[in-house]
Amino acid sequence: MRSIRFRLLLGLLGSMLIVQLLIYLLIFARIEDEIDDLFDGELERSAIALSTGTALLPVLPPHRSVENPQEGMVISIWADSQNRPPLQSARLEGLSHSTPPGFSKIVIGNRQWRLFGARSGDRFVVAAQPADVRNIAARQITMRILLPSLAVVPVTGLMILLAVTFGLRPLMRVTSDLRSRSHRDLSPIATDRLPPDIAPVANALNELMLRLGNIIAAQRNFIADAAHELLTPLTALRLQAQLLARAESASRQREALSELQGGVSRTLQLARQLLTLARHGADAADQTATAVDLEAIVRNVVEIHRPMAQAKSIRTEVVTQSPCVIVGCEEALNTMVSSVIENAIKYADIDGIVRVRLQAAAEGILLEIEDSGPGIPPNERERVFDRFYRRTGNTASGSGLGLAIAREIATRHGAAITLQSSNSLGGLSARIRFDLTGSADHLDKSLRRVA
Amino acid sequence: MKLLLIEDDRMIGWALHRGLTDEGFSVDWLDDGDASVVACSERRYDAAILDLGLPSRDGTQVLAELRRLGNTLPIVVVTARESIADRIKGLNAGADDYVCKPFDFDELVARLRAVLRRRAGQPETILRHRDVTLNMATRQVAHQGQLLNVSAKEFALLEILLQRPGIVFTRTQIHDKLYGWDQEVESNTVEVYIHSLRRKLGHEFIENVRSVGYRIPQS
Repeated sequence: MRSIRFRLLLGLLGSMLIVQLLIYLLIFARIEDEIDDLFDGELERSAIALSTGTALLPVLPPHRSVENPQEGMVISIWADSQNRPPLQSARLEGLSHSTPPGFSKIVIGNRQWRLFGARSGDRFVVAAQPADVRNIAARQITMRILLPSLAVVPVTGLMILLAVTFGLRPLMRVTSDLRSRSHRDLSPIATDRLPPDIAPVANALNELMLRLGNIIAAQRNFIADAAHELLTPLTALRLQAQLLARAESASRQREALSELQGGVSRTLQLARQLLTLARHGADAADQTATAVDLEAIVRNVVEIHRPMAQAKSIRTEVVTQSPCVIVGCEEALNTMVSSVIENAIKYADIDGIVRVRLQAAAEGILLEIEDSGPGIPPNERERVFDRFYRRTGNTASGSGLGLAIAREIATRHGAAITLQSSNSLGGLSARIRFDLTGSADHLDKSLRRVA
Repeated sequence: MKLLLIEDDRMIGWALHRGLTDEGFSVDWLDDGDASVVACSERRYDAAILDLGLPSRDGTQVLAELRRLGNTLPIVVVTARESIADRIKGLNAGADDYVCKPFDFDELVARLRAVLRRRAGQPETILRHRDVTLNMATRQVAHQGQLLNVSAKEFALLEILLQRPGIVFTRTQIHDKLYGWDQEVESNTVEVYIHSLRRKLGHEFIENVRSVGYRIPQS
């Protein structure tokens, strides 16, 4: 890609030269006409003058050859009779007494001659001149005008360059502004002093920087939150390890060891969920979306969690519709369904019920997961989706990330996830609603659809 | 020494409760900010350990509320907020000391003891009375220059009495300071420890004030 400056210089200078060339072609044509008139006039006046006057006749020396056409005119005079050879100012064969009066053309040798014949009484005068003399004169005159104006071209080029540089100065200002920034500075470029040509570029850049800034801030917060959240299980681990080290009896050691193992599992669980969040959360990298069978995912997730449910003697009921195909990221959807079903099993009471229903209709798909647990009071049903939110008196181990992850995945898929109380089971009901009315526009930009 | 532990995390709470009990403290454990304000107001405790990251109520609010009510209970704050601004805020809200997660258990205990000593007007770690010295830092008791073998409870009992010689402590007061809520104890345990200490330090070292309680007589 050539620089804008070079393109402008080339374009402007080139078109200027083309225009100038056209002008000279026009001037050349005009000069040719003028020179024709001028030379014709000279021929005519000379012939007429010599046909009427008498004084010059004896002066003309006979038979002088014309070598140099630049010398111009050859005068031939037939004084009184046709038979006598004419008096000539220079020797020129091929002219005849019968040349018509007025202007005419003739080819002698391989040159073209312009003639003017004038008759007065018995005397006949022909003035002849080579035609190419005129062309040469016209060309010489044109060149004499053209050459000085060509010398102006470099000056013009320099001025164009200065003008272009002046015109590009706002762009240079933006460039140096951007270049002098630190990588942390995402403040918008000032657009009030920018010309309307560059302002849209700057505005688009500003929008991008704003979005980038938001994402960076969100990630910075997340890292701070995550580090903060890691401190609690790590503190527990440290205390548990110290307790184990100082335990004296075998029973105390067993007790401390079991606590320590619990602490390790909890820390691992948190780390795993942080990874999941990094992979599927709102700020995660782009993923490819394909056609995914939601029914298969739901059945599979329920199957995987069956041992966990059986450990608490929980009955799982699954009602699904097939097929239930949506466009999305299979791994992410799997994680979302898992975390909601896992929650249901975790909070359902022993001998309780977890019910999973998947319904498909033209306008959308509804996945509902109900449990017979204690439920969540209405004022906390939104807050439990906050990252790291933990409910008071929550005895079940959890990092406070599961529902946050589920909601972020749902949002990326244009789905809404809400909590309400379950009418039939008395516990919590989590509904995930996929809207299918708006074609695939609902998908987040970060999910790239593949055909 | 009776402690109130306010910590919502089950694992940290369990480990601190167990560890502090082993160190000879009697520990009551609460996981809720609101309840802890009430509990502190009962003035049964020698100190409290307060986690600032409580779910129901921010720990700094609990702290500020207690101080506003005129409660002077020594409080060591435990927090994950480690910035200097947060520490200053915590101390200004009325904390006596501050440990950041993930803290070392021994450091917490040392800070706790330092706070207790300061409150008792005793910056030294060693209590001396007659020929008995008690080192609060090393948890050792010496009699006539000889190190004695004392249990954690015996040490705690001696510490209570030695901190304020001449003052009579009732059996209930001592019992309260030695045990938490959840500990089932037989009613004559205090007597058992007193008896054991007298055997090691000499009978007249601890005086029995009839129908009131026990004290270490001022020489």
